[in-house]
Amino acid sequence: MSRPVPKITRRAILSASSLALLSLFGCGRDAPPRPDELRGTPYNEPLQKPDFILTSSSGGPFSFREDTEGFVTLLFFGYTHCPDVCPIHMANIAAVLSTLPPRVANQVRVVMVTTDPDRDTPERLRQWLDNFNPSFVGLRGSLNEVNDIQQGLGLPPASVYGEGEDYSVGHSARVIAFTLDNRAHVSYPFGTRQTDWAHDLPELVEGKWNTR
Amino acid sequence: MEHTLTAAMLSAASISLLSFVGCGGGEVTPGAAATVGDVAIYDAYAPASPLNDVGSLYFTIVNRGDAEDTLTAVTIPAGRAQLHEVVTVDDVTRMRPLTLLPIPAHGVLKLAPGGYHVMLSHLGTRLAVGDSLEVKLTLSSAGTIAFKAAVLTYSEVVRRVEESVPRDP
Repeated sequence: MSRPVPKITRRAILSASSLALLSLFGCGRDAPPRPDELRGTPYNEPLQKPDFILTSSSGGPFSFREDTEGFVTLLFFGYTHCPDVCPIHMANIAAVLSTLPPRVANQVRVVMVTTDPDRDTPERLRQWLDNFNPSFVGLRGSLNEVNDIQQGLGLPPASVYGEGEDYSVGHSARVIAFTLDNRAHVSYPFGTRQTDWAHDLPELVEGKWNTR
Repeated sequence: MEHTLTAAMLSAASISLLSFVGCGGGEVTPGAAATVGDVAIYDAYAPASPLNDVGSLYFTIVNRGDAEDTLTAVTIPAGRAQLHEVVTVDDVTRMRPLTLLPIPAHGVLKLAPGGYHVMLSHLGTRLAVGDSLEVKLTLSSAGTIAFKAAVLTYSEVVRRVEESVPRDP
């Protein structure tokens, strides 16, 4: 025989439990992600996979749209004189791919386009990427071509800081994930945790791209 | 999910280091790579450099003194070392060179991926796993501190970063 809980008490219970939940999950997150939700940052409007041809780290032409057809493709703009963000991003993705089942990992292509074509030759890109995963593709084009591609994806152009041979290059640290529908529904900022990559990559490979 | 590791890492690391270091001051510091006066260096490492020119170096400085100290220079035997901060403005992530970094009184300065780092350039040879890199820091109060930083694989570096981040419940 349970009596109905008076309204005021119900509200008190609700707000107490919301407080407890908020403090449990912290950091302003309203609710924990549902298991089927991607943890990447969703695009309001999915991006179309761009159609461009650049020189690959193996020397030949690489047609981004054609040569990544049928793969989940992670696209990143960076450069090899970048000592911190770029290698850590690449190492994180490589570490996660090495833990995923081959049927998932083999369906993921990682493509890095250099924002520093003056210093990054295809050979240098190849040697640099081999430190993380020999299957990662490096691409080089003129700075104008690369900036046009970035602009088409809503990314800022590469910007040079400092003078002389030790200049550095500012660029977006976002990894854009293109799925089998040749669109990107999510991107991944620097700092994306391996657990989030490990959660999302199989979902993307299986064609699920529900976002929060 | 739109957050970087840095803030969380810094605060988690500061908390764990502070609790480890405690409030005593002056005691022998276990696990320190080097100690001079009130200042101790922990967790010094450099990822194996992908090529023979550019690399990075990370370490943590704990200041148990009553006054702020300042890191003013980093030197390595061959090549250049430059203090940097990673900043992101309007989706442009870039490195900002720094000429000094304060270490607060009874505080911690942690260099970690995505935050503060030392950029190494003109190395001449690759930093290889298993090597150790000789590092000298100059602090305005404590003076010079020399220590060795372990050269680690990138997988080990990202594993450490991953483990230092607080997990969701």
